[in-house]
Amino acid sequence: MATDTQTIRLTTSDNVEMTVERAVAERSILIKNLLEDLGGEQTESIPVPNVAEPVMKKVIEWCEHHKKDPPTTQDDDSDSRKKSTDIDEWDQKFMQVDQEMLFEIILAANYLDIKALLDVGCKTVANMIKGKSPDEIRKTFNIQNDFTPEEEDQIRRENEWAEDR
Amino acid sequence: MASPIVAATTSSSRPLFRILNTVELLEALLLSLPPADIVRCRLVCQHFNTVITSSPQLQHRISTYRDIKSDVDRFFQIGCRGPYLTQDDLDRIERLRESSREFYEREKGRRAGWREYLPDLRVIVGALWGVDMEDLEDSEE
Repeated sequence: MATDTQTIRLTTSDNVEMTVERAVAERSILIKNLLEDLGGEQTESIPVPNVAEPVMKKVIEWCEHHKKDPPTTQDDDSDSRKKSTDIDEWDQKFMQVDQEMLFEIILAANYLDIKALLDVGCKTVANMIKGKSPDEIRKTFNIQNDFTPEEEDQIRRENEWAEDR
Repeated sequence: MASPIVAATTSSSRPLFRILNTVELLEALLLSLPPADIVRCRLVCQHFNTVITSSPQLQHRISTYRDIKSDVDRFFQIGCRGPYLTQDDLDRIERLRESSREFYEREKGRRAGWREYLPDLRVIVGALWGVDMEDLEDSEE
């Protein structure tokens, strides 16, 4: 297809212009819909005000690699994409970034509407907290325990059934 | 509505707090966890608890897990009695097999994930559908 080699330009939040293959950029449903709405040849650079260049570079790298993946359908999204906490080997390597970058990638994937990337990001964070105690999770995320002892007891009682034999 | 969690002061954690304070993102994150972890996450903070208890998807995940777990726990209790299975036990195993098979048939299409979340339970629930009653009795030494 002729559109495969077509490129578009994106301007990131820190005002960097990037040239990206259209098919790659269209892994983002936000950009895909935008391009469809604009119609025809896109000559103007598309602003991406919520994503900075270093993050956008990573996102584009992911989109490049997953360019040929079948598009995810809207209907069965939540269940099929959350099959397990297994992550594809390439994606695992891709996600070996510092935490700040990992969280930025998740926010960018959410903003750009790239479900599969959002899913990989969520699974990566899920693996960081899987099997941990509430206190360990609080430490990992630097969250304050804002329960009263009574509230905590109440939830503990409600959760009793889930504890291991 | 969920009260936002207290934001950390370090700037490095800002994107994280934007994720955790966006209900849909926290929900997506929690849905990536095995159900036992989802249940445990209620104890992290008020915000987590509110999101978990008010999300239909997370609640469905939890109640599904609860159903399987109670079946499996009962199966274990019966199994622990070893070779001395009464007719009542056998009837109950048969009923568990039926209900878990129905459950499996109902859920396998739209919720392929649950078996993978429960590797240990999978074996047992697998035994509930797969093993012949004779085999079950024979295998008891």
